[in-house]
Amino acid sequence: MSEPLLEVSQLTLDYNLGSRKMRALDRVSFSLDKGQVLGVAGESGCGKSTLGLAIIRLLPKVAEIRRGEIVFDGRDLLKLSEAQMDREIRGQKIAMIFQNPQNALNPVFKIETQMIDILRVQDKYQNPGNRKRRQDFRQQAIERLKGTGIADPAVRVSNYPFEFSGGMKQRVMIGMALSSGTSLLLADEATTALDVTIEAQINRLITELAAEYGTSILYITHNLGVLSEMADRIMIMYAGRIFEMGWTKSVLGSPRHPYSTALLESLPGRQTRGKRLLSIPGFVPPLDRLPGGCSFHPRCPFAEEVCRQEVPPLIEVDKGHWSACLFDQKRGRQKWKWI
Amino acid sequence: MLKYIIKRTLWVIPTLVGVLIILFSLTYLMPGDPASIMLGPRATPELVEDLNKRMHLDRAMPVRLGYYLLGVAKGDLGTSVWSGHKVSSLIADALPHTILLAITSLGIAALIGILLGTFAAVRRESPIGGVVTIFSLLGVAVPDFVAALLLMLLFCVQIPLLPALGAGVEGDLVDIAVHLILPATALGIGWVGYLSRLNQESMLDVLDSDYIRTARAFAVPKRAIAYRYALKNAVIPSITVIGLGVGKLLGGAVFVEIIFSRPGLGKLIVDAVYARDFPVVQGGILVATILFVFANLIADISYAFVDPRIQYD
Repeated sequence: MSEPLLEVSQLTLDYNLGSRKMRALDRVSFSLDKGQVLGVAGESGCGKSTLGLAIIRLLPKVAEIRRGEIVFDGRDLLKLSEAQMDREIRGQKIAMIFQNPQNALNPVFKIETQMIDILRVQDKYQNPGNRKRRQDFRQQAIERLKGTGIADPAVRVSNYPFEFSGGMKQRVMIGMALSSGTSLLLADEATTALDVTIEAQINRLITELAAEYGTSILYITHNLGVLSEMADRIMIMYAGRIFEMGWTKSVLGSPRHPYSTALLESLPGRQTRGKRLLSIPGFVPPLDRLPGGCSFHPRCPFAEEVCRQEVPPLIEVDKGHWSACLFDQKRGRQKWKWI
Repeated sequence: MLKYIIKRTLWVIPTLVGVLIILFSLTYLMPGDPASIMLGPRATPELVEDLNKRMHLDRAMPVRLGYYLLGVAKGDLGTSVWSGHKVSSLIADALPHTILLAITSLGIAALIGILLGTFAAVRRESPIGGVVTIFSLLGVAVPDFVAALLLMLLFCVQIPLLPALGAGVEGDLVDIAVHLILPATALGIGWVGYLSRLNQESMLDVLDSDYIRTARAFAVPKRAIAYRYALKNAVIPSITVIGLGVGKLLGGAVFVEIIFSRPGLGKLIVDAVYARDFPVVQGGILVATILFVFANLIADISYAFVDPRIQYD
């Protein structure tokens, strides 16, 4: 425990779209320990996916990292070459599964073709010189599928993606992504497109396999309910910043940031039965027109003059619990309770 | 797969029957009287009547259609009103030249166009992409008969390297190939441009897709991603266009065959139209249509080989 696998510090990233400059990540710092599950939550457009893509270095060309470090396993990923990323990181130590499994697999190749290609790449870098036959890789692919609970894997492996349901495709993706060598899994809204029962199954599968292989997970979602079940720690993001971060229990039990509280209040739950769910007024501001001061202040009912002027620092408000709200830091939580 | 191929092939039959009926009706509407063309203006009424009877021209239109369909079914496309040769043998002489020209020009154009488009898409940041785009637009913009004339002026008149006329001596493969270079280039140059544009666009789309990102996230080598994973998806629209393009290509072949004095289906039909040689026009267009239908059949079948989702629809 408490041996950090991933340490991101001061990560700042812009999207350069012509003359417009959007700050998608602003001084993001956090760490993820070995075997831990860190949930990243926030509304759409908060920089969650950008964070995942930055770690595995698959950002679109318009993205530019301004400063910061992504130290993984003792090395700064931002300093590695493309070839090194391919050889040692992507699909090897860090795997990523994406939103919308419908499009995540290549529609015109069989599952076995796609899995064998990936297994071959992994094998090439892990055991150089050791040439395996196609048949061995195929067997390995079947094993992987079996491990994800796909029935009849020996037959299914020669199907095309369109012959699988969304949940099954995500199982295939997990089979590709997770192996004993994977130390970090980036799951970007991996279950958002699935229906609730399938979502629960897939999440259980991810957690079980990750526990078996000792894989840490960065679980990106906008569903706090899911995180309450599977995350060790939670990080709430808003407009490219971390607003709150801490152990799941304390973030969900006693949130310190009005935004986190609002997200929680907008979830249906036992306490809210019969009551109207909260909906946060307004929307996430466009990243090239962020308001000054605290970027949440236009939507925050507790905002005062100081919130318009000063950018709130992320401060440890409790043991292992950080929050970036000036109001909370100065006046205490009692003053801004939503309900 | 086999079921799909059979199903798709059977669809050719109603298509062809429809084509036959339309074709027959169209020639029926054409002005001019075959008998007076064949026999000349000074033929006696008895002779004309005799010929009309022999060719069933005195019967009602549906009956004539029946005779025509029966003839086609037996492989008999009638006799040329002008030369007296069997239409089927005239076409049999001309067809190989046209097919050779079409396959060579479209085949090479497809290969070059698709590769060029792919290359331009993969290297989208480098100036190569822009060069390919300009070249493609140029190719699309120049009509094939203009290209034919320019090529002829350049390579036959200014720098006399290649033969200008004919299709080469029968049996002499080198001679045939040499005679094919200019017409095939003239006919194919627009296709290179068109297909490279099309493939560049669809390739750019595919390269931005989720499954390509997946492949990159698993460190699949860049070259394999572009030329295997992406290309197989990106090539699908091109296949449809190539199938449909055969029709347009046969149209273009008319000009090119005339300019280069090549024997061929296009030249045969045009000459027959000038001479009001109805059976030859009818037969020639029928064969051209059959070529088109079969080209689309082949396109649809290869479509299913590239995209497995097709055969289950």
